[in-house]
Amino acid sequence: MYRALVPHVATIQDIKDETGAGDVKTFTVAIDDAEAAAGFRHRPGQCAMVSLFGAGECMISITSPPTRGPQLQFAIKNAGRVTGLLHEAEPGQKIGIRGPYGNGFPVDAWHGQRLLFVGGGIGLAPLRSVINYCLDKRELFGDIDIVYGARSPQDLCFKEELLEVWPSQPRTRVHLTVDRGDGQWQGPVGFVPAFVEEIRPAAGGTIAVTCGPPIMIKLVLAAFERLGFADDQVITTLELKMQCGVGKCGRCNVGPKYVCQDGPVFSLAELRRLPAEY
Amino acid sequence: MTAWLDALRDHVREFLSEPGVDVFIGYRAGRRGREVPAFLTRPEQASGLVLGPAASGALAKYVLEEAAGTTGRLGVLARGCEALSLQRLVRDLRVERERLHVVGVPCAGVADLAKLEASLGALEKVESCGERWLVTAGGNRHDVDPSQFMEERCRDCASPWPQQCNISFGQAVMSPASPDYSTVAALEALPADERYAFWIRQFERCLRCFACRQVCPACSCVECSLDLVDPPWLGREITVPAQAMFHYTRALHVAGRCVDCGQCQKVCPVGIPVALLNRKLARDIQELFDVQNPFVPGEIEPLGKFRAEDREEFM
Amino acid sequence: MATPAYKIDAGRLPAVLDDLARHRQVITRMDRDGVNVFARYTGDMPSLRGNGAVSAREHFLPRMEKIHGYQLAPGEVRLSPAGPVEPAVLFGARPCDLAALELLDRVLLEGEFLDTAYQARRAATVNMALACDSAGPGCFCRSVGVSPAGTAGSDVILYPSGQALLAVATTARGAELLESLGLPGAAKDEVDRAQDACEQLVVPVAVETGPVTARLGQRLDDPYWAEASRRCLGCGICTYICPTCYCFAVHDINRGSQGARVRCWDSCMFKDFLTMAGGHNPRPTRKERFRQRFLHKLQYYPEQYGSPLCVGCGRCLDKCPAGLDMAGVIMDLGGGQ
Repeated sequence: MYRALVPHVATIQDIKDETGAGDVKTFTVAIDDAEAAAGFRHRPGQCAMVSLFGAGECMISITSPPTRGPQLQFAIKNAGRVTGLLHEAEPGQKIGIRGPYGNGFPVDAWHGQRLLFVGGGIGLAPLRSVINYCLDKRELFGDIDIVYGARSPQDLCFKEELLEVWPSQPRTRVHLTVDRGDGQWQGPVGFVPAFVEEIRPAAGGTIAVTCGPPIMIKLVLAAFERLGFADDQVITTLELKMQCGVGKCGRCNVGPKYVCQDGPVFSLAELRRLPAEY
Repeated sequence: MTAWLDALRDHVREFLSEPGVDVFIGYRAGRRGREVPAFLTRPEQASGLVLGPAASGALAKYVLEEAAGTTGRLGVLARGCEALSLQRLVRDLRVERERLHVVGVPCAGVADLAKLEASLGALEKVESCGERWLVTAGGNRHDVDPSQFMEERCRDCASPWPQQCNISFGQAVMSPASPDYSTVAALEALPADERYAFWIRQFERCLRCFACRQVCPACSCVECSLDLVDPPWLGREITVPAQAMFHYTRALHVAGRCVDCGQCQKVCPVGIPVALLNRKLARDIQELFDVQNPFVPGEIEPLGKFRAEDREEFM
Repeated sequence: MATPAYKIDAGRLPAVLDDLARHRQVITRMDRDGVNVFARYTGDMPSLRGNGAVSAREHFLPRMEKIHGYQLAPGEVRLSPAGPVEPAVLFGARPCDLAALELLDRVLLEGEFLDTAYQARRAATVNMALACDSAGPGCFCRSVGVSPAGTAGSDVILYPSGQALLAVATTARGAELLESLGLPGAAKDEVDRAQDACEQLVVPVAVETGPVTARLGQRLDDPYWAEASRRCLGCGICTYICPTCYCFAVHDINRGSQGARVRCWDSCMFKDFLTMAGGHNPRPTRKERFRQRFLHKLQYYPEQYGSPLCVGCGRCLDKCPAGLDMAGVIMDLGGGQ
């Protein structure tokens, strides 16, 4: 039996509609077997294979930080067959979880540095894990700037944290933008890459981390370059189709690197050495 | 060397000099006695064109990729089966006939290279010489009888001379009046359970490499139902029923549109007689729908139109 | 003490296979409608000429393999393990196919997560290799470090000698198995002669992979990939017959309230191998897919493990409908004539 591919049975504890439109939901999940739950130790930025038995698996970033309890959270966009069926699930539904997989963010190397997180849309999910981790260990890191954008005010994920929790943390600022406002929106309107440049974060002593739709990442990376960030100061994540998650199925390689094992987190310096097949 | 080859090269050289021409698809010499598909874009490349018994590819299907995203004219070398394949793609609205420049050449059968290698050793060259083939293999030259080493699909070819070409070279040859269904008849003579056992034994070997589909001029759907994950028409599991379902689905999708080029069977890495299944369906169509030759693409496909007089004894 | 050698006369082969099959399954090569396939021995004589149309890897990495079963009930799911792996003898695989296992071992049996199903099959299978005294037209094993008499991945090697096979153990478990068969011994000079004939066999195709691997890193944007891949049909033949390809996909096969999660072969040559929900495909054309396969074999794997991911079995030379094969690509890239 291929043990690494056999999931733990887990139960959906809670489902939260993030946007009100039902396209992104955050699932709070507990692994049923107590020993397995205790043994599941992830780093911020790692992923897990989430499955519905009878439908299949998909690799999802763990959006909860390891610093907060044994329950796991996954923010999932309704994008395909398995995620569509997950969106129809109710609390109490049994699902499969295996992992954690991947390298996660190199948080130990960030001690004492200023942190700039730039996210778009569902791309905040992996960032949320590392942001909360850094806030839980606030004294280890310098100032934190969180830049986030969504299509509309309604589409902003994790609103409570964005609007209330994070801005009230010490030395932490949240900068929000939307592609188009609505009647109530008082904040900036515009795309994330231009918004980052307007904020003019200082490059010296700062780690810049970005995650979002591919086109946003591409433009944000260009913005970072113009702002004077060196390639090894810039961190992003790759998303590729995966099947095994354990580096064996030959699917998610970009050049010699397997995103499931060597990623999903890469520095821009590392990405520049890989073929642009992502 | 074939007498008309120089004339062919001259023609292709001129064609490639014309404005608005993207490519000419023919053959060039490959390694180990092979002749492989070649994509010529410059007039001076025409001198590298070859066409011998070792040219065993299926050029017609390449037209799809070559035509995608471009607007220029495409030249294609076509033997009988390749000309029918091109007609198929045109009838199925995959490429406009006006974009194609079909250069017809005669065919006296394609060499079964594996069989030649098994009896003569590593191949260096296979040439046509009158009614015979000159084969250089294992350092020696052999004069061989083509009928001994011809690919199976070519033995009962019903369309050796290419039709509907822009220009053709060489001497036209007569086509048989009707396709040869003797292989179908032989299988039909078996009792039903033996026929079933025969096919299941074949399908069990299937790797689902989809080579039969990829090479087929009648399989040109932009999105193949067999690839769809949602809904998964074709189960991904490798079980005998799923294997059989794959082959039945494929055969029925090309029924009435198959041109009997035989490439599906030729490319199968595990020797499944895919074309035999096509022929069985073609013969049924010929009988049921009064089609003269079901392998020649017509104005109206037999399964593409309902006629009040169609037989429907199953109703 | 020299390793003992045993003789299996042609007439005795059925009895030896029956003996082997008494306590385990015997996988050997059979002719099915003229196609040489690896199949379970059930009493019919094997066909050991040439090589299998599909490589022996399918015994170790089956086309479909259950990961686990599941049974669903409201608010409940029960997982059931895949069945146990049967002890087996693989009889008559060629040295190239068995050398491939050692290359696969590096990927599947190293690192944080092991392919325990493959590991179990490796452990449960005694490999009796059949050395080659004749080469197929596409063979180029010597160019990638495999010998027609090579013993990598084998437990026993069988040398053809006239109509007989001479068996020599290459591992302790191979020796134990041979000893249990009660075979007559083979004379040393006969074994030496048979072994020499295989070791000196000339294989028809020769390439040089070293310089190609060294240069590939700089050739990602080489127009060669676009030009060569023009004639690729996009089928999966090369990957499915290959002894060193191992890509798989995971599927759920549902039957009402129960089913199984399985892994099935998949191919990087298929258009939708990497297509994600939403439609994005990082390798959108044949060029990227074709390049990926050859870079994996000739650059990525060698950089990590020190040798090409190829054993020169020649199947792709024989079977690619477009004449696009490993040896040809190596030569095109400057590794040979």
